[in-house]
Amino acid sequence: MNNRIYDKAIVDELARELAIPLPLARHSADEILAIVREGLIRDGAVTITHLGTFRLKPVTARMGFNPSTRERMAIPAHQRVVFTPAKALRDAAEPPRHPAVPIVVEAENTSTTTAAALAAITPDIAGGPMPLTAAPQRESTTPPVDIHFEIEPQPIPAAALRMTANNWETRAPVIATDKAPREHSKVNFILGSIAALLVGGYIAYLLSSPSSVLNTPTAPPALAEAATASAATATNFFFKEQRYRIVSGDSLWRIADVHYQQAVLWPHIYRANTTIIKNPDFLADGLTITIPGLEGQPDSLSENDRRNIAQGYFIAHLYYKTTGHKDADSALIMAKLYDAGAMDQVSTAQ
Amino acid sequence: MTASELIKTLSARLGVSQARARVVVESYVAGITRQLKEGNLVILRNFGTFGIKPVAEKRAYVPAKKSLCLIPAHAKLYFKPSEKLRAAASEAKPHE
Repeated sequence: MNNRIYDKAIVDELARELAIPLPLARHSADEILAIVREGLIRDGAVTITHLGTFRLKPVTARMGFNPSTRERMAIPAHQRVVFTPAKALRDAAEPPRHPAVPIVVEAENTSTTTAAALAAITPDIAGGPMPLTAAPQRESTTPPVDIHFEIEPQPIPAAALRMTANNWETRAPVIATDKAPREHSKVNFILGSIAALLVGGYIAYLLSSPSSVLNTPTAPPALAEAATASAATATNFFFKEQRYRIVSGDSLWRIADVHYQQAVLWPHIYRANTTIIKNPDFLADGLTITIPGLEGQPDSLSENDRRNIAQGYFIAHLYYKTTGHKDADSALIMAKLYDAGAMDQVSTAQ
Repeated sequence: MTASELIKTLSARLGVSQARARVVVESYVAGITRQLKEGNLVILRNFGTFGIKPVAEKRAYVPAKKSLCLIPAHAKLYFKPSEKLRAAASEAKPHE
């Protein structure tokens, strides 16, 4: 059990079974693997009867991090080898499984179950089980407090502090021509520089043609460059909408951190999936959600983004309020921070 | 590449009949299967590793019933491509 079997042992067995010389068996085995490798690169999929299918699966580029240094790094788009075992191989090799058990949420009949449980543990007391009377409902002496949301007395959530530290509102807009590009605006920079090159080439062409030597202005190149660069910035989305399948260990916070580079933007995802996600703190495995696109950059969001995020925080606030979650108030503060006017639209819509 | 294409290519390269090539592939696969059945790790150099790994019990969503279910702990067959195969795959041009 759990021994390491190398290809040599498989080849030995092959030679014995087919009664062929060992070198021929080794050559055959090498050829099979070589053909699979070549077919995989050429066609993207190779099927072997009773073994399974090897397939190339494209992986989109994303931001990851180096687990040892916690450093952010860009993972380029690439292809991954995935293997789907054939049913025959799974039936033969995998140990048998127990069937899945449905999780049933019991209706609220706790009083009868506690009565039954008490009756079960108290039969030995003289006089039989004690008569059970319904426990009086505990009533709160103070009426439910209507929370008025003044920002001053509330503690500022840590996420908000982190956001102000990033200067997300006061940061100057990206201008690709005069400053070194930031990490995530590389595409803008490339687009801008291509545009600048084109404009420069056109100007050079104008200069070289003798008729237009006199009336070629000197200032316009810079202006034109700036205009094309800003146009490129305006049309470029930071993140496009995509579908995502939940795996074990996922949370909205973590997904937002990976895809938007800022975990505090998680309500953007929550808002787009309110039909399938009720509790933002629980995601079931295998659920496919939509990760909406970001129009602006994570630290200079567009107006639509901010409104959506504010609405997401407000929906989270409404949910937290019904469950008495401690984060209900901070969710509301965050909603106000992003867009104070967005909450009216949500509350009228519901 | 389909299973029959694989056998055709193999018969051409080994200079044997297709029926013989099919037998070679089948007994090669059978050898791997036999080792996996015993719980062994099958390591094919410059190609990859086949093995059986345990999976912990987990909750999952059943879309058809719109409910949750508990998937008990089980064991699963996996294939881990070797460094060389992974490098070749990541450089291959995308299909479709």
